Amino acid sequence: MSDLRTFLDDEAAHVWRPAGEVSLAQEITALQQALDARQQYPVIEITQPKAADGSINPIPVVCNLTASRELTARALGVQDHRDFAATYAQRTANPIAPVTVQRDSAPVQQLVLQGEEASLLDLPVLTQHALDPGPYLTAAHATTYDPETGVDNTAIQRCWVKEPRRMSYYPYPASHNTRNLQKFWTKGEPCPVAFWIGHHPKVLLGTQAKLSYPESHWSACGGLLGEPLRLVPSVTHGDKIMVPADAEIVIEGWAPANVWEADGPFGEYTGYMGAQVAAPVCEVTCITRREKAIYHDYGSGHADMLVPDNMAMEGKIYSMMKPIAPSVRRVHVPVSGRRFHAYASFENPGIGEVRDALMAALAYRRTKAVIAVDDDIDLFSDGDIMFALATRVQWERDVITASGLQGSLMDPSLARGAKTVQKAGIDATLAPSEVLGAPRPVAPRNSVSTAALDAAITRLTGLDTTGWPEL
Amino acid sequence: MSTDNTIRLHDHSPAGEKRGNTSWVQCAGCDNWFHATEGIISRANVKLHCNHCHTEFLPADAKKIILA
Repeated sequence: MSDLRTFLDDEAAHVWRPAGEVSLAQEITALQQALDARQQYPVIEITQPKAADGSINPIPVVCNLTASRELTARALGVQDHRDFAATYAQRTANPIAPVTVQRDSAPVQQLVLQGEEASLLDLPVLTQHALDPGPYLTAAHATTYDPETGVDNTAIQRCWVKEPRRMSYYPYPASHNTRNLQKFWTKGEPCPVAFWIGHHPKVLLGTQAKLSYPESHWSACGGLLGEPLRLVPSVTHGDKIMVPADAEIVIEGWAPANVWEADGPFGEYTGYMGAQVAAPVCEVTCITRREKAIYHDYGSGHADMLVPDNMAMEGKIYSMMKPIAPSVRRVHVPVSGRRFHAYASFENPGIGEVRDALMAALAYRRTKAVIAVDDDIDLFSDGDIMFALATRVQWERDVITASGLQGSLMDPSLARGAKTVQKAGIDATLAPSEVLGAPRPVAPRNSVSTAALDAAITRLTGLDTTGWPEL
Repeated sequence: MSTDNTIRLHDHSPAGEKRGNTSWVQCAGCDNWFHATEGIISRANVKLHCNHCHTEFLPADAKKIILA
């Protein structure tokens, strides 16, 4: 069995617990921002989270859980994070159905708080950014279901805590949770919903699997776990909405039909403040949690949130490219490109294969630019990608552009009033060989011998380079 | 310049496929390849220099030439 606690135990050496009180208002997020700038990504556990009234919330806050690619890959048993895409694609393509457990076997229902006992204000909810209007749940996985088929869907949704039992939440307009919501609302019925917080990264990444509609994420979670995910009926909705039995906290409620409230502005994954939107609300009926729950927060717009989502995207893009481009080796969705850019490497692609792969990847709603390179380029170095763009691309020949495609409406560069985006695929591979047995008709790269490079590295190892000039 | 040891790559790319722009010479001595401009390869009386074994030879004596 895997849960948040087993992961924290496994990575105990990489958990940083700052001493003393840390305010829930921006101070935790500021730690993440400062660490991002240093490119250091320990898991952070705040043992004394300080609320606005100065009190210390007894529930600790964990963030940066998945900020490190290395830790996130290792959580799924992948030793080299660069190989994550192929493994994720393979495991989510081999789902394992969940199992239902009794309530007395579900740690997440150790405490069942209903009516006046249930209060969102008792949770250590962060106000992350200076311009956020209030505290937001950022790692709340909203589970709803399609009333026509009964199939559930789960997605992370930002939730603005407004009152003890009321919060707005924002399912993206094109999302499957919005489809489910609209189906209930069209009938004039409230939409049942449960938000669960805190689990093992395998489960968190299973919920990020990019699936068709309607298709449950639970089996994808099982594929990543290597065993069935343990579910328990929610208190409010019974087996209509199941929740992970080994989660930390569950918030249950209803979204009243056709009720909209202001939500945001909120600091989004784009690195910009997402505009205020009209959002549904959740009227909370029940909060269940472990007796000693841990609250999980994703630093929105930071590596903490981008890394796991981007790694799941890598799996999706790999699975879209591989059937038509067998030479694809790796995929990387870099934090520097938020969720808009994807890089893919190819090993001796056939004529036309790279462009076929680019077209396939551009059909994915989330990609905005996809860059294809040879496998001598390090996909995990933006400097290497820029080298490929600088030396292997003639723009008119090597760039595919397309307009009017689905994309993120949070992209700050969108044309005024636009509901679709412009996309580009860039073939930054070298020209292929045209004569059997002869080199590719391109210039070889500068290099030194392996022996000389090894000797240089040995010479530098252990040397105190403090104060040496940087580039 | 001899032509029996030379392959000239087509410039034509009807569908806009990516074509390389670099010419290669296969050394008459060690069989390794090095790249050179068409400007020097076309000078029949200027010896080419292999950067692997340092043999010098005329283009006509190259084992193979790929002209891009």
